[in-house]
Amino acid sequence: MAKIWDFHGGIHPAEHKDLSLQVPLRQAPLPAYVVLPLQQHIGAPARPLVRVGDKVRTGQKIADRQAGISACVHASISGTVVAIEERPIAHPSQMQDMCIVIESDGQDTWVERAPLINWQSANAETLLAHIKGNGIVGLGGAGFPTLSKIQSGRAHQLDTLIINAAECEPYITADDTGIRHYPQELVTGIRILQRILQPQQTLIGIEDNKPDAIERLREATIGTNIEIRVVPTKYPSGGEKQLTYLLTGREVPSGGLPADVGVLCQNVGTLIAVARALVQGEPLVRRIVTLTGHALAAPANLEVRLGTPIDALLRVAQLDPQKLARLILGGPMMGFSLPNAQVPITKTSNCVIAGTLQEFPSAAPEMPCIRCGMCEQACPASLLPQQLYWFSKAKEFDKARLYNLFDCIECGACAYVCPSQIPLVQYYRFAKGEIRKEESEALKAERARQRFEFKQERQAREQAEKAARRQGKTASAVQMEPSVQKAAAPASTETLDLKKLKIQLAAKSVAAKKAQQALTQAQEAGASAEELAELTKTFQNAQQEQAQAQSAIAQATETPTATQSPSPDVAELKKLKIQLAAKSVAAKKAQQALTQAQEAGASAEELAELTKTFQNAQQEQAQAQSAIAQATETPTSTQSQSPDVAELKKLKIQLAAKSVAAKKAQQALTQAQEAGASAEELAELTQVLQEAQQAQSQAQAALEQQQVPKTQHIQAPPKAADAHLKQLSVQIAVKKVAFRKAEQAWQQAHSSQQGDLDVLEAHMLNAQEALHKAQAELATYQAQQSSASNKQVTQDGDQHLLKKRKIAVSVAQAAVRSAQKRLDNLSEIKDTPSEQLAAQQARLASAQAQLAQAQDALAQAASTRTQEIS
Amino acid sequence: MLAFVSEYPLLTAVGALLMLALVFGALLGYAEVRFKVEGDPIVEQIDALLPQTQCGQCGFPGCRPYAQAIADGEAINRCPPGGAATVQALADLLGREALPLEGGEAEPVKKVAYIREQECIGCTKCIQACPVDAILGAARQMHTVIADECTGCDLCVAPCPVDCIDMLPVQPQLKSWHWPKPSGPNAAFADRIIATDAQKVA
Amino acid sequence: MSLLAPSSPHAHRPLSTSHVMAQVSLATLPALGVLTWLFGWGSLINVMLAVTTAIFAEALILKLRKRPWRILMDNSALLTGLLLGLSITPLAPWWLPVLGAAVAVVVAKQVYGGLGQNPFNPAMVAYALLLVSFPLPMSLWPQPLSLQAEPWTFWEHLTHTFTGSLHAIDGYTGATLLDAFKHKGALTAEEFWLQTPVAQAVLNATTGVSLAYLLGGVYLLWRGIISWHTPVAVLASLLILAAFFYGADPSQYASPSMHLLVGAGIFSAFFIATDPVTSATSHKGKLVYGAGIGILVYVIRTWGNYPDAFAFAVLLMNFAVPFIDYYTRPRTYGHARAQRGIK
Repeated sequence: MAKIWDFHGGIHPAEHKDLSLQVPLRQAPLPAYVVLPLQQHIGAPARPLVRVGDKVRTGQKIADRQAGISACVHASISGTVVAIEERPIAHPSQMQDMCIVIESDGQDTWVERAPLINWQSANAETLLAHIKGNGIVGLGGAGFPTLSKIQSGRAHQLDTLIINAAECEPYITADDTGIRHYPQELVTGIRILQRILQPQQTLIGIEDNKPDAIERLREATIGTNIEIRVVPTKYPSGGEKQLTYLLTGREVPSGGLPADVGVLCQNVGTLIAVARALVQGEPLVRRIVTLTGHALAAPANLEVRLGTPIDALLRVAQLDPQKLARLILGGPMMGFSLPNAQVPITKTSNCVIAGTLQEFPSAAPEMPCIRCGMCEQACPASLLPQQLYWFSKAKEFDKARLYNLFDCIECGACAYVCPSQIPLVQYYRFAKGEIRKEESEALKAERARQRFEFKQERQAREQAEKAARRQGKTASAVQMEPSVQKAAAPASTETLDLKKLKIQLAAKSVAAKKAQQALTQAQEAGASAEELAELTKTFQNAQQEQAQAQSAIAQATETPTATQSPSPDVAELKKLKIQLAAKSVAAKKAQQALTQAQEAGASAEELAELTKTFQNAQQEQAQAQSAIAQATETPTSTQSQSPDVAELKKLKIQLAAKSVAAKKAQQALTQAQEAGASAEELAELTQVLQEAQQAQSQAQAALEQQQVPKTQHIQAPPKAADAHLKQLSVQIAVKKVAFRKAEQAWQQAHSSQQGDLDVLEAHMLNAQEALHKAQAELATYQAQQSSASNKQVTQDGDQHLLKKRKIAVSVAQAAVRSAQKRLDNLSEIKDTPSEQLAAQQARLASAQAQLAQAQDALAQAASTRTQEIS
Repeated sequence: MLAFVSEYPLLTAVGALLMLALVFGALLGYAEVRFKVEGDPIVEQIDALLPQTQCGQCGFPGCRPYAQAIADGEAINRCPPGGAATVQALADLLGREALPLEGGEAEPVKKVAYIREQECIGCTKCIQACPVDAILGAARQMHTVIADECTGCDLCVAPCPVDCIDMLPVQPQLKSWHWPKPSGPNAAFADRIIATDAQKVA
Repeated sequence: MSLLAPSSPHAHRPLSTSHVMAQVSLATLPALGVLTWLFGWGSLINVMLAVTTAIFAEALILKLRKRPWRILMDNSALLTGLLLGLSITPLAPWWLPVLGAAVAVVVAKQVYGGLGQNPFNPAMVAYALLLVSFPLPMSLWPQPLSLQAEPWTFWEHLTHTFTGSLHAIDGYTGATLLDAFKHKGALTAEEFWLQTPVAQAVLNATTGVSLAYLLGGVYLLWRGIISWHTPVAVLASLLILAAFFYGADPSQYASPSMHLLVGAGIFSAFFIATDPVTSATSHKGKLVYGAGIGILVYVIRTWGNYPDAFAFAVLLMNFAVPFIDYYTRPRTYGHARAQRGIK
């Protein structure tokens, strides 16, 4: 008799094994449907290979394994795939997971089986390929994919193969039954693994409370090199680490695998499945399940198709619902309770216990720990359970780790013996979960930090590049003259001309700059007004010459591009663009001149003249822009794009131009204000601004109008609603911008106590009203939309409605917020008339009322929905 | 020597003290060079405790600047996404008092940004606002949030002109589920039974 | 009825804290009987007073701390009162057990957070407090009934407890044997036994009580309520030391059998030192803890100021329990060596 090592701790709970051993193994009746979760194993879930409506046959692969640790899933009955959706699965969280649901056709027609007839002579790779293709995972409870386990074992120096037949948990007899009914298949499975792994010794570890199974094993292993090691009955001798120590005296290092000490453990059921897969070509579609507990009139072991709902099995075992007090999947020590029987059997479900209240009384209330140390005497991992309990309870997870929390195998021996009825295992699971969560959060935070730092770095780089480019431009302009002189051999006459012109431009620019400098110096030196006027004239002349040079260049550029360009339209466009650029420069210069004059304290007439110049320049610029816009229309229309799109683009460009104009006007106004211009001037400028803004909003309106047919035209009819929604959203955005601008103008005017406050305020309030109107329009539209869809599809419509209502609420919230803000602003400003305040308060109140309405509507929608669901 | 000592006790005492000062000074100087600590590790340690949402709710442009500010004496209770746990961790690290979180709920709800894609107009404003580049999209193209990278910082909500970004609480996932903490020995009986049972008892 | 239950395991050993406490209480009953039989009604009255006070104090504190009532059902207050009542002299006035029990429950246990949180054995804290504060009434033990001409009836004893009116009847009281032996002066052990004729009778009586405690202890061992490690370590270390010094000089030092059977040796080894809350956790730790108690008891008995010293020895070793626990952590499965102490 070989030596059996004894591990620390362990307990001897009542066994109740004979309950399910009274009758021999039977095949469970074929279920009407099966629910096959895509993840019945540790690792990545399988990927479905079938679609709803597909006909499948028994044994057909319906979901394929992913790379890494994963396993495939096979149809366990023949029939039709009726759903691939989230279904309740057997999990302590009571959550749902993706499942393939197959409705049986009652035929159980099999796919062509592909057994490996000569497995005795096949090489390890072929054998492994078959294990991989048949979706075999560890059937003992954890469900580690067998392929991965063997492969990780092969990566180590293995000398011992251990067959885990201990089955130490009370009640469960699935492995016992498997050994007694399929000893030959078990031995075949062992020999297949021996062939793959070539171990020096093969040991079967079995507890001494299964004399029948031991006898069968002895008979079946005569003439083989398989040794049977009978171990004393003690929970948890079937734990992988404990069994390894029991049979070999080697301890699996913390955080490691049995393979680290040259051992590989396989469960009895897994080996039977391996033998079936290779010898009979039958993938993993059934397993032995123990149905036991005193609430069953006919407890038994059944061979069950995977995915069979548990309630179907309980009917077979004649459940008495009156007696049922707890439904446990797995053993009483490590299994978990189920809320109901509507979950499927998976590859890892070895036992279903339907217990009575006498067997499993309700959990007694937790009492304070009295540090009795009974848990420590029971722990098979030689941990200090009570210390771990204190640390877990106080969330001192660092200390819990220091006390080797992760060496806990959650066997439940400590909680079994605890006189204070403390749910110790749950404390450890909680602590482990929290530690894992903290780790993943730390990982995520680290990634966020990296991404944040990367973004900052990128932004800094972009800015530096921009600055460098700007510098580079001015530098090249300065270097232009000598470099051009050096250029001896021009490529063509045209480029030569261009170059000349450019040189001229540079010279003119320098002249203009000098004139400007002279002007500034004179100003600083306090020159007389006449002198200044003269200098200003010089400067303006220089600028004009510069502008002429620019336009000359532009003309010159036109020629070569025209000859080179594929279409004359493009050339035309370019020309226009260059003109625009020149005009912009002119406008800018005019503006500068105006500013300088203002700063220098020029006379009102001069200023007016300059302003006029500036406005002319701006007008020219705008004209150039519109010309470009017109030009753009043509090429785009000639190109395959639809005219609508071209029109849209044009409008957009117009809008952009108008926005620029408006902005400029605003700037001018601000400057004038700062410079302390007269009220009349200001009024004039304000008018200009308002006109520009009007033009801008007109352009926007035009654009929107254009967008309506476009979107309707482009998008499919059912999506028209979405397009409309989008359009409304855009409108709101536009209105918002308008409002914001008006508000800004008002605030500026208010703070400087200048300008027509009433006009501006009216303007702002109008804008706000328009915004609210647009928002209301959106809300009503959404409401209509939802009511329309409501009539069509109740379920979807409700959800839609709910969403719309939520949006309406958020819109209303935004309105309230802005009203509140306005009110705050007003009240901050000291001498606001009380009527104004009151009016704003009333506005806020009405916005709040709207919000309340919207919320009511939302609540109603939500309640209807929940009613429907329930 | 001895004669000198007895002759001038005061001078001797001063001399001895001076010698001692020199010896210990040299020792300290050597220790300073020999056991030099690179960088300012406290900022790194503080930064490691912050949740890295980069949300700026503390008033600093990102977690790292706030870490630097804490090291310079800023209050430790300004990080709403970190919640009470972060305040406690910072208090433990720095030996300061764990103040209640500044104006906010103690237990932060993990959130993730979600763009209602049919309403997105593709303005890229949110992309520019996102501190961790977790929003994907281009001008006039629909944008979307990479939920795994989103820190729930809220910064993309305000810039959106059409208000199409929602902050949704993170839904519990099967993979991240773990057992809750038992209610402990001091809980009343009603707290100890599961919610479904409690309904039946009631 | 919902089928749900909290986390696994779903099976549980039929043993609860209140059951453990009740079993220990049950195991003290033989000794209580023998005490009453040999020394009169005093101990019974003490126990009744102490138990009542302890349970009342516990209930009061639970109410103040807003803790659920079921905590009272853990029987720990009952046991504390019982152990205190047993260790106090049968001649004690009523306020000794009452004060002691209140201190034990309120100061030594609930102030620390209730059952499981107290670092010191509550009964021993109370005993030490009473011994230090009221040395005279605490050290006044009655002679065994066999030496009393006219033993008190229950009512007479009750009257004495509450009024003290029957106090100081000659021949009724005397120092304990250990006390007398300690103050034997220049006498050798042999002379002491010859000159104190009542000593043999007292020795017989205390031996009877000790054996009754031993009976209870064996019962607890048999029921698996306590492990053998602590009592064996206590008694073995005490006996070894006693044997060593007795062997060196039998005329000066008390014999091992006297150390074992006289005084609170067996009572403390089985009922006090085995208190789960305040003793070491691991088997190795229990051996160290028990040995420490045994050594301290011998040292204080022989060279210290007090004739018996179990309360002090136990309290001193309570101090050392966290230390012992840190340094007797078992080697976890799969780890090369045990981690010792908090890093």
